[in-house]
Amino acid sequence: MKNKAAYLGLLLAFALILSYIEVLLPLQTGIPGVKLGLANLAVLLCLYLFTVKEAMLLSVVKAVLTGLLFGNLYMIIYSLAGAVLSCLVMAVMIRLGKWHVPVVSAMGGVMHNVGQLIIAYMTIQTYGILYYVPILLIAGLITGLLIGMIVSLALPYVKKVIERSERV
Amino acid sequence: MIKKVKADVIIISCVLMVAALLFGVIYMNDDPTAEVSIVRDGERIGQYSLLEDETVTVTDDVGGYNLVLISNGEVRVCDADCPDKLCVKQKSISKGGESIICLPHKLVVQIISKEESDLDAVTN
Repeated sequence: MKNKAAYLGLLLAFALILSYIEVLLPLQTGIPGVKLGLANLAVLLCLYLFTVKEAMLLSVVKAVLTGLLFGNLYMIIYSLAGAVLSCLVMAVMIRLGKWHVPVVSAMGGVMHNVGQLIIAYMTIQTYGILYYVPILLIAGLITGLLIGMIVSLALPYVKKVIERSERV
Repeated sequence: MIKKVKADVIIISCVLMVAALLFGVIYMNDDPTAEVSIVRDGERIGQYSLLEDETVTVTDDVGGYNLVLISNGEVRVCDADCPDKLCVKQKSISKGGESIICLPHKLVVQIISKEESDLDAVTN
């Protein structure tokens, strides 16, 4: 693919804009750590359009940049752990090819939260964090499913656009 | 197509099962490290494990008494000769941080949980 760098740049910009929109949205769940994760739209698209390598690069850069722009250093560490784990799991699932897009995304959402919980456990070293696991698992599942539905609807169109631009 | 749907259902139900299992484990089990601390007039009378059934009689200098009963992982004041008897009317306590207070006798029965005190930490 000749314009890979350009597409990756576009996807990164897309991810950052989505993160910004999420900060702006007055959609508070009341549970800290639970959010839509709109920016994972870009990562999931990247996984389906390119390979694991590009998606991993995108999610790491995304995590660092959104942390610097909208959060703090803690947030970067948490996002990095979540992003890397969820990216890996989704890549494996896509490679195996047994699942639909929303389910791949749902597992990505779950693993994103699992990664963050691991870091949280390492920071505060208490089993008290266990109370939080079921809530975050379910939350990741639901938000992941939603994001995955959007991606599965958008994917054919994005693929068509890229194919057309390749031919020119 | 059908095969894919089957795989979808399997993996999602796996996650749901893990969540349900953890939910069950957490909310069924009480904290085994919790202890009951009894303090009268600022002076520590004693600290007891929630797991062992015990009856503690706390008496003060002028003859007032409170009977504290620990049983089945719960604590309550089952008898007292204070005028308002509010401590007797309170329901049993079992979770970290909960307390029964008898104002006339300056008695505080409180559950102290090691888990609870560790929870204050910054995560975001």
